Amino acid sequence: MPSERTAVVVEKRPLTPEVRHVVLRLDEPETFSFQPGQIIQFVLDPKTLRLFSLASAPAALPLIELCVDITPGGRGSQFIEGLRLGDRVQFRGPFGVFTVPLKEARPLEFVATGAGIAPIRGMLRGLFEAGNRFERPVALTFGNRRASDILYHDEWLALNAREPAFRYHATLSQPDAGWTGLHGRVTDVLPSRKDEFQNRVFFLCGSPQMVDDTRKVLEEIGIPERDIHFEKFF
Amino acid sequence: MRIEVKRDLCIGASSCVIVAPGVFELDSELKAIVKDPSGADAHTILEAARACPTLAIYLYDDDGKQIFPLPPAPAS
Repeated sequence: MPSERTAVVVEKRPLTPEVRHVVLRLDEPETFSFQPGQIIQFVLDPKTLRLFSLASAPAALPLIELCVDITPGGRGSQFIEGLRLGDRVQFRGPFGVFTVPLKEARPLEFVATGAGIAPIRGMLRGLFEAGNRFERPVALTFGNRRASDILYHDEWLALNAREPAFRYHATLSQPDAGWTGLHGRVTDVLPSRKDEFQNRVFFLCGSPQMVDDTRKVLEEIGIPERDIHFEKFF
Repeated sequence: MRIEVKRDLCIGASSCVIVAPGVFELDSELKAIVKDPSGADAHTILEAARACPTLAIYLYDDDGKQIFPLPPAPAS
């Protein structure tokens, strides 16, 4: 049986009407280490497990952060909605292989939609907190419906301004009047940059449909399957 | 194709059950098991294995060669 860890809810705020940002403070941070992008698992009852991606990097310990879309309305959403400041929670982990391998030195392209940004936020924070040690290009293509849906938009703009190696490509499928960024789904905008994608490694996260559609587009423009990592949020 | 679920890696995420419900189910310990290896086509089974967040599902061809997970490419 995996060991149970405990943490206290120290912050919870809405990022949008549908998405919650939750910060937990670990009771025993010295026993916990993780790779950016990994997941933790809450045991809601003996027969109900729910996974959530860590949206933070190890440098934030003893704090860990979650970014959760509560729209599904299921047990996991109800659990997150029910959390109050000061609540103590139990979880297992970290788990998962959706991480940037330590020896991976090639340029990186992160592609997310909606709350699929959660593990990618952790990976980007990990990369740039570590000084992007290979100085390779790193880009984020982030798809949403409207500008108000973009999670952590200011963080990405700031990172884009601060880090010469980082490029932020926000795209909206239903852009508001005045939006000057990209239009369309991530699958619409990625092919226009295919000349940049030689030897690039991809990390996709979002709905199963988005992930599968993006894999198809990338494979059509010649990205080897083994260079496409993904995590589906079911 | 032979399907193996590494129980020590499985965390009960259920991704495989969602993708290939004819092949996988969770047992009483919330670990994935193979209930019918012919319950879906090979592509669906491969997609189920790819969807596992811990890569707990190993696939082998008829000669016993591991076809998933693939070994990582050497970094260049």
